[in-house]
Amino acid sequence: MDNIIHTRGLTKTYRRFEKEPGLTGSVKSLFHREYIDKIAVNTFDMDIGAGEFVGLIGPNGAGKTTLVKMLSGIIAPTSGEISVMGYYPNKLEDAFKRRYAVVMGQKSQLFFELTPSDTFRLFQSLYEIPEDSYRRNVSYFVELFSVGRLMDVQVRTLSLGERMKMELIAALLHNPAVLFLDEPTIGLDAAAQRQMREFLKEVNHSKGTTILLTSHYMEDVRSLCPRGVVVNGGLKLYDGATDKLFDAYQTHKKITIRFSGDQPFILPRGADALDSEPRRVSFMIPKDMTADTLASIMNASASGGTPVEDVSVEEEDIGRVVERIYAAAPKGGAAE
Amino acid sequence: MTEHAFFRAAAIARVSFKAQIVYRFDVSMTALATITRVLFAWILWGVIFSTRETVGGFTHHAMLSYYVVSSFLASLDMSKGIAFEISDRIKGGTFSRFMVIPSHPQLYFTSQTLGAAGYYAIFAALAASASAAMFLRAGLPATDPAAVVCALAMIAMGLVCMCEYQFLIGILSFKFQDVGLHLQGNLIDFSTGVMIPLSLLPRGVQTALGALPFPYVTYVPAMLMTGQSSAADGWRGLCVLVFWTLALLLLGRFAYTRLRTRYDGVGI
Repeated sequence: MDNIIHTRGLTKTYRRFEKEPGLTGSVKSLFHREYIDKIAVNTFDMDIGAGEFVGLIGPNGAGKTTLVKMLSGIIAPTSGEISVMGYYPNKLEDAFKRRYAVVMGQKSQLFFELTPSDTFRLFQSLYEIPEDSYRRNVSYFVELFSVGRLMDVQVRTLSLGERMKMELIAALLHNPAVLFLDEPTIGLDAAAQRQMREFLKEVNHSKGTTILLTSHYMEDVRSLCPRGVVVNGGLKLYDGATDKLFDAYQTHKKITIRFSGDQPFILPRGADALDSEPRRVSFMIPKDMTADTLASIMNASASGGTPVEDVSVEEEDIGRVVERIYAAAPKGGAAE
Repeated sequence: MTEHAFFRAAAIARVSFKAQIVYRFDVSMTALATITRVLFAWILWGVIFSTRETVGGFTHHAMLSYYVVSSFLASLDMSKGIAFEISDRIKGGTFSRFMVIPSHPQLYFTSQTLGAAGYYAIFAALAASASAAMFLRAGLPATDPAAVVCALAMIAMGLVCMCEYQFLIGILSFKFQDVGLHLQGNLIDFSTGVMIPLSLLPRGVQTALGALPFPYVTYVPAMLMTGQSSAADGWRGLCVLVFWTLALLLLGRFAYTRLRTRYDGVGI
């Protein structure tokens, strides 16, 4: 498989101005400024082949967005090698920009005063998309996302989920070879997240678009990306099959139980309490003990124990998984 | 500009023109501002001209004609928004939006501003006509057609020149964060002749300002349109303006290429 994205020893250091607290600090900073260096991405090696769907996983401040910003040319690396489709991204050549797209969950490329159709027409001109290809793509994506009735309403009146669909359509109109997605499902409700995932899967399969996705949501990465890259503190901690990653490191489940009575609840053996209120308790439990634990709680409830009103079982959050990978990773290297 | 760049610019201007349609209140306020500027001039200069026939070579009618035309031209120049938007977006981390599309931000902002100006021009023209009907009973003074042609060329070039100037100022935010936008706004209003005709200033100040592009954006075209300057003066001014436009265009490109590498995109 040809590598479409290549980095070696890629590093980004931000220089930040640090001010002493208070008015005195502010006045001092007029004459003398202290700067601190923060390494956001540290000697990062990565190769991504054409058509791959790769998930970039990590907690806040891990360096995921900085990496995406370097790959899309928005910021320049401090050192190291970087190449996307043979281009040095930060040169920002138009030929390069016509071959990729970037969607940031929190930022918009659309004009809020205009309708999606008007914005798409603008993108057609900017990306020099031939008329037949433009019509084909608009009709394909509009049907895929079922947004035909929203094409002629003002963008500002769209819900977040509807707007994100339009953002994705705008990004994909020119058939980019590479799509960078930074938290595309952030803030969306469960149904919209699911629809977004289906859409991305379809685009990756049918168009062969290489996709690099960053997300806080384990479910995004688990359901979409055969390959996962875990980042923390700017370092790559894991690069390999997502299934293996979750099997090996997502070892616990989070169980939340709501009770209809005030009777005391005794935590099952092996459980790690997270939160406890008079009628509600949350705890972590090893994955392989989940079924037995739930069965014993339900049995106890049925036989006159603490009456259970509702139970939810969730995946362990990304921060704990990363902590575990971090603890297991060899110093200075990534786990595979 | 290549053919493709021209089509891109036209598409951006078209979208920007359409986007303004939403802002009905803003448009009406701008139109109102054109009328109020002439109204204030009518009141102020009415007092001054009550005791004399001419001021700095202007009759009362010539002065009001100047204000009608210069107010209209001033409302076409929407370039201040470029520096504000670029500065805000750089500080807020959303400037990346313009870095990832296949169009140079300079072309994008210039086209966007000219598109918006096109829309405002319709209402500014209506407001200027209303002002002329209210305050210039004798109509605009007759003027040489060559001077009008020169003025039109200068207005078009002036709008582009101001866009390039404001783009350069905005881009400096990559380095300086705060580029004193309010201060430069007042200086420009003064040096374009929007506040008072520049011919009322001391000769030395006029000469110094003449070397800058600003007088050719509003003041000189207004003087040409009202028959108070000759076409020959206008062509000379147009040369100065072309020089500045090209210089600012190149400086803006250079500054963007050099300074954008400082961008951290904080906030995204």
